[in-house]
Amino acid sequence: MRSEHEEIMEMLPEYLKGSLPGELGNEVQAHLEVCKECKSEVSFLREIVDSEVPDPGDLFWQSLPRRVRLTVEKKKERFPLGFLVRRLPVAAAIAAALLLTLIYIYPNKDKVSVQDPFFNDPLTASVSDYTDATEEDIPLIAEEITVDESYLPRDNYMDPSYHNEFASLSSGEMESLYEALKGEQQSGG
Amino acid sequence: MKQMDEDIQLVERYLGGDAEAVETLVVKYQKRIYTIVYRMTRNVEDAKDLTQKTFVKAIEGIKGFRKESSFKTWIYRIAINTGLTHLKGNRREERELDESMMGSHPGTLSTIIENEKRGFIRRGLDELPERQRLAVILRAYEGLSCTETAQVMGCSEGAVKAHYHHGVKRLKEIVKEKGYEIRT
Repeated sequence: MRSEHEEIMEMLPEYLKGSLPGELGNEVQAHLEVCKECKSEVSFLREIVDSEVPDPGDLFWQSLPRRVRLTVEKKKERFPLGFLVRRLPVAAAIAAALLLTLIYIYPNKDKVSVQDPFFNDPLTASVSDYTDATEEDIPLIAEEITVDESYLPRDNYMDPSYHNEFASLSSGEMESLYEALKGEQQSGG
Repeated sequence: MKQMDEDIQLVERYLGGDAEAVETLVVKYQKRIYTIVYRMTRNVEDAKDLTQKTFVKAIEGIKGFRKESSFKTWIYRIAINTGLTHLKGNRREERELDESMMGSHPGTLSTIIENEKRGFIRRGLDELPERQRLAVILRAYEGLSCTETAQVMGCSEGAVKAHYHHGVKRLKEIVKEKGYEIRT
């Protein structure tokens, strides 16, 4: 069981600060009149509390509230994404996932659309472009293929190119080659 | 209780979009926060800086204020943590002379002796273990109750009582060791 003395001793800091409610304050006051130990404790606490705290000046007090508000507002403006993440975590996660998907897809899409002139097999181009060519057309086609820069062989290709070999084929050989290639294409080769 | 309600209303006003409510809260607590961090750091510039940091942290994390305790104990706790982080990051240099003993106000012999004694008490406070020092600052200087101090320090009331008791006892010993009398 705690004594009244112990309870009052515990209330002394609040008593000194004046934060005790009226009744309790009077009770402590009355106890101090008769208790030397508590009186001495109050005196010592007064000595501790008496130590001064330097005043930083009116300018500091007047400007601090505004400075705090502006600092918080600036931080919000500077890191809106951070605030978004804190406020709407699910929406932010979805947005991030979409962004990552776009970043992944976009460069791949570009790769497919930009065609390398050597990407398509010239043989495929010949089959699709010259299906109805007659025997008289062959030298002209061969000439056209040779001068078409987009189908020029790379430096490390060996001369003569197979385009010239086609030009030297007879009509019968060309016919059988054409049939063979057509059959190859249909079977998915 | 009235004060607590006022604070909660201000917090709710801020959360509802009224940025000026922040300024009212700062005006209300700025001197108390400054006093606490000054007593921890004993440096005016550090205390000014830490006061601002405390409020900025509090406003940024105001959603974390659950209104179960008072705004006062909540912001005191932020101030204490901000001060402790600062002290851990910047080992304080020993000050040869206390500000009150610098001689700018010579005064009478008794004033000089009193100032000297205060200087020893302050340095004694600096030398106390961290928890004891905080308990003395919050209880003796700020007049917080044991319950409030326990909330601010994040420990039990029993621990607060023990820290405070040992802290004050040690300060009394320092005063006696230096040959000063305690006024009665």
